Amino acid sequence: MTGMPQSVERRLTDPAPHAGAAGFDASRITRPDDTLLRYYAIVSVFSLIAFPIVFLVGYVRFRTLRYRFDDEGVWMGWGWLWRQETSLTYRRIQDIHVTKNIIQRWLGLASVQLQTAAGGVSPQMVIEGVLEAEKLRDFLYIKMRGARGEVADPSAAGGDGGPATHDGADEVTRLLREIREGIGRQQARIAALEARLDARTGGGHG
Amino acid sequence: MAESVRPGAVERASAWVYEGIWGVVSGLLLVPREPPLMPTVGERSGVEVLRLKPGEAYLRYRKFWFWIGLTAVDVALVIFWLVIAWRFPIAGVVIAIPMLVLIVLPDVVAYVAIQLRYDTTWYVITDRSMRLRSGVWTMHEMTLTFENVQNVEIRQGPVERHFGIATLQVETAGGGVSHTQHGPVSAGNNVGRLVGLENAAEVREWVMQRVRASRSSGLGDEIRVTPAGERWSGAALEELRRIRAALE
Repeated sequence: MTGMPQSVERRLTDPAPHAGAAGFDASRITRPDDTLLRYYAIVSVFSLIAFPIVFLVGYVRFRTLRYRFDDEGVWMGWGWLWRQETSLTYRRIQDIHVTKNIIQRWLGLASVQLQTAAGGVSPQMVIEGVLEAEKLRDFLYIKMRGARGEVADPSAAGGDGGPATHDGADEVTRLLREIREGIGRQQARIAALEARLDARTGGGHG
Repeated sequence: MAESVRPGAVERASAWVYEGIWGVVSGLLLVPREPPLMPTVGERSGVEVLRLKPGEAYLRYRKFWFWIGLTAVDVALVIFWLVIAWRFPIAGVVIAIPMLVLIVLPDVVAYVAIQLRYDTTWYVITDRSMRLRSGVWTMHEMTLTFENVQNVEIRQGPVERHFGIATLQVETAGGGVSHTQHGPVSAGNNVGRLVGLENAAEVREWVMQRVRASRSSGLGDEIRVTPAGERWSGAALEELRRIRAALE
């Protein structure tokens, strides 16, 4: 990356310029914040004549919406007559979208959309009503594949095993050569011992 | 002398007005001016972070289309008004002021919107991931890791080529296609678009370097799927044969 035009700005970050998800406990999020109901109310006002229906749908969603964040993945469920529950693991997240329209920004809300590799058009999970959406997003990002650099920096991730790289093949070759040399040495020793044994027994007989 | 002073004064004044608009936008619409941040994971210091914006040429490119659209719409509106004024002179006088507003106001709004959108578009790229932000009315931020990238494309039309810019598309396996009457169309949720890059090829190399380093398919599979030594090289096989021979 040399010869960057001046529209490109590059700098080095401090080791910890951004706390990220530190001090943030996603497992505490079980319900949407009350602000979400206010957001649904404002949105339903815009639907004019359909206001009662849109608001009722929003109200039921708000009352029944539940989240569960654990170590491996996230579960969400909502609905009263028609129930819907979605689970996904953090490792399967493909990309994370955070959208905030003007009303959401005024209320301090955001919509966090999680996309997996399933072929649907709409995101597989839409998390609404979280006040700390940015922190939730960074928490999810850190849990995502590739964020911790498992591949780019295997030593940081423990470095056990690893894929069969060229180095791995060289390692196998080296080990095999040592085994062969070891066996050769053992055979030489055995031959020497046999010769000494022959000489001793031969001398005894002779 | 006056000739050389005037453009500077106009630029200073427009910059001053634009700063005022920014004050209103960031205060009322709550649009941050700073680029988005990216959490650094692990105890690593000095991580290189690229903070990109569309190039200056992209602004000129958008304004080029703006002027074409402005000319087309305003000429149509003026002709419409002339026809009305010629047929019904009184009605022509009555709608003169509303027509003037209709001709000028959308142009001003669109011009400011182009500038605002340009100033709120950010592409933050680390060594492992990228975060793209765009939008004023609805702010949209997309975060993806290079581990999940499936393919990278550069797209450039003739007008974009003239301005020296291109769009870089980074696609993951997320999202999919929607089937419309025009056939399958990418839903676009899984595509990170870096529009208006002056150095699209360089950014692509940066991304592809990281994508090539990945040994998984980017579909959520575990990293260590291939056991070490599953496929042995020719040299290793030769060593095995010599061990076999040594044991005779």
